[in-house]
Amino acid sequence: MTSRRDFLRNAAVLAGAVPLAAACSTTDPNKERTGGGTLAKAKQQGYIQVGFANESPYGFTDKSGKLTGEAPELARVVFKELGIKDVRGVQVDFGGLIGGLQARRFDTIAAGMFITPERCAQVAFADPDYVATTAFMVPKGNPKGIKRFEDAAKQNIKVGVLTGAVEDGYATKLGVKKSNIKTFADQPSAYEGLKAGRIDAIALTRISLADTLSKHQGAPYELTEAFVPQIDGKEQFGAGAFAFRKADNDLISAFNGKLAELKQTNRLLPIIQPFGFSKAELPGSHTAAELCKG
Amino acid sequence: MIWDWHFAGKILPDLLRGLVVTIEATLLGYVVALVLGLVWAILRRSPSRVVNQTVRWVVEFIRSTPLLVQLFFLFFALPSTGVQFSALVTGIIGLGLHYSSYTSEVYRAGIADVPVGQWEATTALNLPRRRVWFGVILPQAVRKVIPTLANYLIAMFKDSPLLLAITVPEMLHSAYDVGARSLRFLEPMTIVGVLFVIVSVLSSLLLRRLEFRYGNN
Amino acid sequence: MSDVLSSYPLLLRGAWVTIQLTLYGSALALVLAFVFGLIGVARSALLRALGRIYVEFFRGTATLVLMYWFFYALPLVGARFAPMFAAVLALGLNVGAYGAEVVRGAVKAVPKAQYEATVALNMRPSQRLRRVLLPQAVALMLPPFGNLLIELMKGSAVVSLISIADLMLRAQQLRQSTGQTTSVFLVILVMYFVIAQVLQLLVRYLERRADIMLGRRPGRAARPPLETLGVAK
Repeated sequence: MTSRRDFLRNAAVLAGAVPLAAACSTTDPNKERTGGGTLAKAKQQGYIQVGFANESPYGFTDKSGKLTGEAPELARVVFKELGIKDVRGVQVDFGGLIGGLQARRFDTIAAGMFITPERCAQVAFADPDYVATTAFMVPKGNPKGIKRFEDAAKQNIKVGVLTGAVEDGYATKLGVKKSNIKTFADQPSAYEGLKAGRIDAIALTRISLADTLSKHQGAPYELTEAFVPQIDGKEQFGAGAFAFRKADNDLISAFNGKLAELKQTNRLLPIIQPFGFSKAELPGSHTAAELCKG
Repeated sequence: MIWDWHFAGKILPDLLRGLVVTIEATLLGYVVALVLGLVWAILRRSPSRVVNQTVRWVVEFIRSTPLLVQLFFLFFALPSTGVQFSALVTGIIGLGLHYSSYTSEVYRAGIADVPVGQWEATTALNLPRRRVWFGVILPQAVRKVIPTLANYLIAMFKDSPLLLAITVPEMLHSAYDVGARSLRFLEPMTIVGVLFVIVSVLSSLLLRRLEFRYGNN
Repeated sequence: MSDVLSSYPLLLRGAWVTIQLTLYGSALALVLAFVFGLIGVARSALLRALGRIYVEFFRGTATLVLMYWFFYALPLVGARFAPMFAAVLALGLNVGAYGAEVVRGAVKAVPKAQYEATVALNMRPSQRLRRVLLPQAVALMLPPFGNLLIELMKGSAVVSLISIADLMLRAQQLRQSTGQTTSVFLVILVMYFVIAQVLQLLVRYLERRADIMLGRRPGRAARPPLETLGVAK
């Protein structure tokens, strides 16, 4: 009996050692901080890890748990043509995306993140893959007749925005009182707020609002016509792009090259269309460099 | 060198700001847990079966499910009922509610430990209900369980990082922000880890002295 | 709600990850608890001090802080753990420290007479431990271990914050893809509750077995067969 016990014990130790070996790896602390070499590594290991924020329709998991959305699907096409077959998702909350990228938990952010000068200081964006227009979600019939932020400001309307999102800034700069701006954690919460009557309208990208509405078929809400807010005479384009670590220059140029190719051969729209993107959202010839300047 | 002392010194103010929020959330949450736990414990002794069984299962439900899920539930689902609190207040309510399910059990044990003679004496003296509870039973019950209750304060302190999931800017959240901004995670994460251990160990030493004073009487 | 209920395969996958974390985490915690608990009653003061350091340190950390440290700080000192490994390690180290105190307390609570008897019988220390002290101590350990098991299960929910696809993370995904908030959270709260109750039942069963083994409660084998009592069959 002791021999059987010994055997079992040895077997257990061996069985434990195998996954243990796979579970830890060594790193080079200096490289961790400076980065680089991601493209080669991804090609060699056959997959690339992308960070997403579980935000529909930019990057999310569908009901079966599969990673999908505008950015992941685009990533699949681009990286496949770059020789990286597999795209694996790592879900973090939106505020954790840049940190996760820096900590090398994934190699690019595939969440439809807007290019802003502040973010450009920390990460390197590829050229944008879509531009977003703003819209409001209002009760059917648009009783308060809101078309742009200025209307909301004039009529003292309560506007809902997401925390940390650009619409917060737009609203404030265009005259909506701070006490009339209510922030929500994410789209479903904002929708609940509208339903409960705590806000009169949600201000978000047309794409996000259309997606939210599609989940509540038959609900008495509608979207206003999409527009581009104008602040101090400048049109505020929201352009979403993939973000990379600054040291990954080779990866970024490869990505930009493929993206340009897709745009030129009209292959970009079919990829993003299933997620509610239309011709109006195609990025045109905007580059990351110009958008980083603000 | 892997560790940068200069950087560590620079980020300390940011981390300490987070610590202030952590302490705020923990102390206020603890107050809620103490009060609410007492309410549950007293309701459990209600003669009405409906009341005491409902309270029993509600408390059991809260005790058996993860704090994180409860926090998310309060954060996302509560606003749709009309009430909206700030993230910090939601966190305090979440911590307090969750830990009240533990403190209620502690109170119950303390109350059960009060000798039957005390109850009989209050009946004999014809004391009104309020005097019975606040003047006689609770002072004895609570005194015995002070060390156990104090233990839960330390536990709650260690659960406070969960609040970062509902965007409360407590200490771990500050460490993450600092790391994300500067690309240096080692110093903030280590400092925060060490701070947690120091506070916990100091508190449990204090707790042992409390036990000495109150526990063995 | 029907949307949520029809997505139960996704939730079940998440629940399975939660259960796996609980199993592996408690296995690690059990090993650490016994190792450091027994070190805590060792004769060498040095060993005891080392054990004390482990226990105080890991009892004093918060599991989430430990996980974040493994995730973000460790790569900068030369090692990277896979997410599941980091999660199980953090959970095991933390709960193991509490478990060590339980083991230590239980071994010390075994009546001194038992210990003295083993000395009188000239048992070797390993025999003493294995045949007399530990079996009795184990019966004392089971109720607090049961609590720790459930605490570990509840603690596993924080792995969703380091992107492991447990039940909590799947709930968030479901919330996004269906737009339903309250129903999703209610469903997973119930699922966690059910898992906790099942674990409770398991622990109570183990407690009963331990009691029987120690002769504190008559089991089926302890009741004499009817024939010997002279009862006609």
